[in-house]
Amino acid sequence: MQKKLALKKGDYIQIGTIGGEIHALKIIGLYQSGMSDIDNVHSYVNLQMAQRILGESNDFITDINIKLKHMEESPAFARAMEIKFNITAVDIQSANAQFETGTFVRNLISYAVSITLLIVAGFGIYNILNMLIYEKMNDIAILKATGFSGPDVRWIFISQAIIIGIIGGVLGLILGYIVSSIIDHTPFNTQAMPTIKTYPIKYEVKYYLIGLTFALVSTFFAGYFPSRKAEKMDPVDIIRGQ
Amino acid sequence: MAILTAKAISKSFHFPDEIEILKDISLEIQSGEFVSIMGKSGCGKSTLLYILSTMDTDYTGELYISDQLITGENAENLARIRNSKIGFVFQFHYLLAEFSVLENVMLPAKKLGVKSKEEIMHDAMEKLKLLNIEDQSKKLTSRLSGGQKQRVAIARALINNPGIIMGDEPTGNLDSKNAEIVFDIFKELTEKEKMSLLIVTHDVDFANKTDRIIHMEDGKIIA
Ligand SMILES: Nc1ncnc2c1ncn2[C@@H]1O[C@H](COP(=O)(O)OP(=O)(O)O)[C@@H](O)[C@H]1O
Ligand SMILES: [Mg+2]
Repeated sequence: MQKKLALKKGDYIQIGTIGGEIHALKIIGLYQSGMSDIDNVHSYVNLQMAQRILGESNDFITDINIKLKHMEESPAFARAMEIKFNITAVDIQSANAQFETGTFVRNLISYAVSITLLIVAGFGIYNILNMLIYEKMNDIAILKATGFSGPDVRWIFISQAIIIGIIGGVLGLILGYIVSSIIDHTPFNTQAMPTIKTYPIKYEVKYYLIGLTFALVSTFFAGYFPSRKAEKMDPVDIIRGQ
Repeated sequence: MAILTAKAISKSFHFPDEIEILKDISLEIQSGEFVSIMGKSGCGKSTLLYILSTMDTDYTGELYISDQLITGENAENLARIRNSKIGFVFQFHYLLAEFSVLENVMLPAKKLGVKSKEEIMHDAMEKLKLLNIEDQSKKLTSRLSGGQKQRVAIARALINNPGIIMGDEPTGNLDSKNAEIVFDIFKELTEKEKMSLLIVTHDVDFANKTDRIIHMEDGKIIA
């Protein structure tokens, strides 16, 4: 708005109300929220001025916005206010319900895609270990014949799976970090948010931990079933098969 | 003293048909004795050896190792007994291809977990020396000849100083020269180390040089 009208701090402007009055105002500061929807149409004046412009008495207030330290408390707080002052109070979650639903659906989609990929990758590891067990049948037989117990053999394959999980998980996180920092530096221009120049990325340890946990859990399960098979293999059957 | 005693051991396979493979086998191996088992193919020699080595538990009768009843022990205990008291040599060497000769020999001792890694390594070298292949210790087992592999397998069977070594046609895959070497090793083991040996063989010359021959036919001991 400032740019469109070629204004700067200290300039005077005149505004006309619907009732036909004219008010002269001095610009004492400039504010940019970053959202063009707001910045293109909003100006701020102090309370008395606003009441004068609207031609109302000085006890007239249309609404009050309250910022809480903890956003989650908003619905309860709104209810409490309604009861206490007999007014209509709208919490931020209801006010932005459409936006919240959008976020929820996007999260749902991204988790669904991630879990599907993990299941596919898990089956891949399961297959590899299953084949490994048939390939290593003779080794399993001799380990058992020389006194390694079933749980010993199971542990060998479980630990293989866990090693795959750790290496794969860590490599995946590193790759993920690199890709997200590339995206972070990719230009992103939108009319709606002129202050944002690159794609906004949230780097949070929480997401990396979730990723690693999923990797370990899926490889553990992928290794568990083949390792049970190895545990149960009978060395006599294998040796006879030669 | 008897190192191994079998009392009235019988075994049947239930699939595809019910057939009795071993019928009332009783035998005793004395400490330091070198015994061979002979018999036609399919008469049940391998089956008997798998039972005597505690790998197969599906039989009737009783099995004692050093006068201790083994029959009915749980899988965990049987694995421990196999690890510490029995050495097994198969027709095929069953060495782990990704490991060196030395590591293959050390493996059962690591499982036993009594000695330190240095001691085990030292013992393994001793066993390899006994079998004249100490110069191959660093090699991967896949780089060895058939005769050398079988000697490594014997060294592995010896590593925990078991009471008895069992062999299922250990010379079956070897040429006569290598078979002779393996036989001489066995002979030396009984004479010098007072090792007990129970070896299944088809080789009449081999068997004739042992202390005693057990003849089997159709799942029974005939002599
Ligand atoms: N899993 C099995 N199911 C049914 N019969 C078997 C099985 N394994 C071996 N046999 C039979 O048991 C008999 C003895 O086999 P085996 O002990 O291997 O003989 P040997 O070692 O004396 O040649 C053979 O007739 C063989 O066909
Ligand atoms: Mg056989």
